Amino acid sequence: MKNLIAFIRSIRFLLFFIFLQLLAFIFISNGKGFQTSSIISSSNAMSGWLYERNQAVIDYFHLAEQNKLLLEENTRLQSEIIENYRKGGAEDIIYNDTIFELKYKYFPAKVIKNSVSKRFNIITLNVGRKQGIEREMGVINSQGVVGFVKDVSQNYCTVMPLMNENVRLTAKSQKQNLYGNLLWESDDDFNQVTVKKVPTYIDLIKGDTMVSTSQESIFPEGKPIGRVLNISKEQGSNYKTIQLETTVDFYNLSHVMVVKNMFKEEIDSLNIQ
Amino acid sequence: MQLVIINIIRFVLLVFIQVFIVNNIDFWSLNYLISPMIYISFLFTLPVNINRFLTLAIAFILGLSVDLFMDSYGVHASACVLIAYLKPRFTNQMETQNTFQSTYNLSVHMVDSIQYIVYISSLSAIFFFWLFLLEEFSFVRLHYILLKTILSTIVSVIFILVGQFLFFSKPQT
Repeated sequence: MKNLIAFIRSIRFLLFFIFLQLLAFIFISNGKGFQTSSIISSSNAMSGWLYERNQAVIDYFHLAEQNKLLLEENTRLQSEIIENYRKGGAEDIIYNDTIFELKYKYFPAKVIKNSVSKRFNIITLNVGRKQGIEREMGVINSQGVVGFVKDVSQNYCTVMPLMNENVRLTAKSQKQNLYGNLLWESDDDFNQVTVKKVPTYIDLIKGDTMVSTSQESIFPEGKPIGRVLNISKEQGSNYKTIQLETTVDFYNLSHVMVVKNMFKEEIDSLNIQ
Repeated sequence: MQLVIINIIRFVLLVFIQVFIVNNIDFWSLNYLISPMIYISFLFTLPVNINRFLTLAIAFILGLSVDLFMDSYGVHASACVLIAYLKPRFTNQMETQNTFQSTYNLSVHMVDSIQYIVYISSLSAIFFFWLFLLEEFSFVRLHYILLKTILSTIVSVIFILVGQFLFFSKPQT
């Protein structure tokens, strides 16, 4: 017994080292998972606050670019308002407001931290639980799909952008209703993503747009994801691999919208059964 | 006491400089391969006579505070604890060949500069290899991890040395 205690005393430094390593590994395995959330993330109150201050300074450098984007979006929205359309005959229209039910709700948000150089990039936004943000909500901007919410704290949230090797989503062709698995491969550059397992009979040429699907009940259908860069056939299978250039410019990301699917819980509860 | 306060200030400053300045440096197309870490300089300069358990605990907290900002969950904490654990092996060797005050911050002015460079570059290399290995969590792209380790080590060591020449004064003898 005495020897045992003496032995443990002699390796107590090693034991302390192993203990700290195990602690670190618990944090890592909690955070790495696709579905799990982590306490060690920049959605944390303190780092969120600091990044917000930091971003307040950086914002000035991108004002011109952001103004241009807002102008473009305003022009697009202006052309869609109802006054631009001629009314049909009174007999064609059935007035019944209650047949429409709100499906997607949008929350405005600002990017306060955006990493671009890593393989597992994370974006931090200045909205959180208080503003009604929950996990696995979609994030888009006027150009297209950005990513989805991973961790939420009281006032901040972190977003997993398309530029993260852990991302698994689906994308489809704008022209046909053909799906493929969207992921960020290790050989993809920044602002590029890969769509795998697309049926060979898909009719696509360079420059065509691939859009989001509502399969994961995260994004509204038809939000642009990327333009086709090149198409290749997967060896020994009936599938094609398509490389896309994202429509969103991830280098220059400032204002985004978080999308809430009002029916997500209902759909998810069906999928579990 | 004065040394404790100076080191606390250094801790906070190094984490801030790392997160808000060094992480934003653009290396053009080499961005994936070079990610310089200057905050580990804190562990290199920490006086050698500090209790080794305390050194490990400080390393863990240092790594975790960087993790908090970089969304890397615990990867930096693990790598910092590893180099803090291995540090005595290198400093003991230096101590036998140089006489330096073990209560002072161990900067490049304290010992032979070639020895100091060997000391920080070997610990940085171990740090980066462990860091990138944990980030990848597989040996599949080992060549990529090794290349990243070498380039990041070189750039970090240069940054750390320049920083120490600028901000550490020669001890009065």
